[in-house]
Amino acid sequence: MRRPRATDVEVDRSHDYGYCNARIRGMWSHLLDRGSLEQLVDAETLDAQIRYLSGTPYKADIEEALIYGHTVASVDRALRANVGRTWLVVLKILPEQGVGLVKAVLANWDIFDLKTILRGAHTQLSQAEIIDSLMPAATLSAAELSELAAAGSVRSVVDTLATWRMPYSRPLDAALPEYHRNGELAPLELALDRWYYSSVAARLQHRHDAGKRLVASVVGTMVDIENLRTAFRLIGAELTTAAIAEYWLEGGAHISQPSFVSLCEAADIEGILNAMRRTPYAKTLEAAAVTYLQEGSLSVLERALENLTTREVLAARRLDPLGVGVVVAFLWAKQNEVSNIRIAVTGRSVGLPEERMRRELILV
Amino acid sequence: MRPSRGQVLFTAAAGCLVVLAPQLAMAAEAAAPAAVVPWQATVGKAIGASFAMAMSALAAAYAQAKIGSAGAGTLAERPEVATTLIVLQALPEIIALLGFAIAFMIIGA
Repeated sequence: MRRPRATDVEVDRSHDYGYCNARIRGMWSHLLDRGSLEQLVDAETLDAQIRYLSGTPYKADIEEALIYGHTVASVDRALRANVGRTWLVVLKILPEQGVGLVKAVLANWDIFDLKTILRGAHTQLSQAEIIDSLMPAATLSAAELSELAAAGSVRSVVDTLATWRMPYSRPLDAALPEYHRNGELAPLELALDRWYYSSVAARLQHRHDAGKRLVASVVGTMVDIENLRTAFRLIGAELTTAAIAEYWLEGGAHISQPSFVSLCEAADIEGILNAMRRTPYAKTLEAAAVTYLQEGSLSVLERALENLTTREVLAARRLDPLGVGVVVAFLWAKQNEVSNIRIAVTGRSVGLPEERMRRELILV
Repeated sequence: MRPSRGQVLFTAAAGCLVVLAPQLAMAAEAAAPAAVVPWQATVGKAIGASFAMAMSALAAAYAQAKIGSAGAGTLAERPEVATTLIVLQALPEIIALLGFAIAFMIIGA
């Protein structure tokens, strides 16, 4: 039987964004600013970072999590608890007409977590190792994520999702035979992405408001960036045009299937940058290309694209100041803050240089 | 939020009444002999004044409801701004006061 989930909460909802947006703006004012994150990075030990976080709105969650010890895992637990509670508050105060759009946005992090769990199960990582890499999600609770992380194999993860009657199980189940045939995760990840973007498009189909335009634009950018990521990874792969076209995700704002194929057939990164010259991503990619050439790591380009997505979504606050835009932007800002805190805390615990930590942060 | 067609029609009709009622009253007053004020003038003034007062009070109430709703949201997260919110909440009272002044002027005309 399907478990009741946090997002099933039904409350009397207003049709007015006045209360919701004012409260969200109040919550926004509690987010850590650039200076606070700098101080967190500058803190010399994990204990100093925990002390610092105890003076922020994370205080109650940090204090509660510290009973499990002064460890990175405790901080992670606190962050997850805080984000989970925040999502619940947002979903409770949201006007009825915005719930679908916000759930669609929140599902993005479920997809991220499911991909992480699948990768962990594929490479036989331990439950703890998988949980350390998860983001706090809304529709999947911490207990559910933990159970999925303990599944042990890709097949078990998909079966568990099917038992819970989660919609994510359908695309995964369909792609499972191909996974078993090739032993590669790509078909499963692609199936999840396709399902997610098509379900968002289906939700948007019957709406005719500013919220629709905004979410469609955000999702268009996300699809483009996902296609670009794939193109970076496929450089040098000797695939046929038809095989490359299989990897293309529909729904992007600027990358059509033919242009995706030509991107993937580029000989090197420079070829991709040249092909992207007329798109809004050119500036970001060119700026990141310099660092990429120095370090030779694709993660530099992927980080730059993530940064771009975050900026695009946060701009929604200005594009739709009286509607769902403020809520969508807040969800992103909160998730980004948690990522930044995790980078600072994990970075300190593994002895990452401060300069490197600063580079990894997405400060907007 | 966009107002419905009914709301727009109601506001337009009420606005016409507010504008036209005093003029009707004054026209009736001008047409009558100087010594005797016809009952139509008195009724017209009363209707005009009551509409001026009622509409401005409704407008103030609408504005206060919106501000109150947003204020409650803000207070839930930032109780320290309570004083500012009370000032903002009181601002639309000016609309009601203006309506009262206009009603007073109509009655006194």
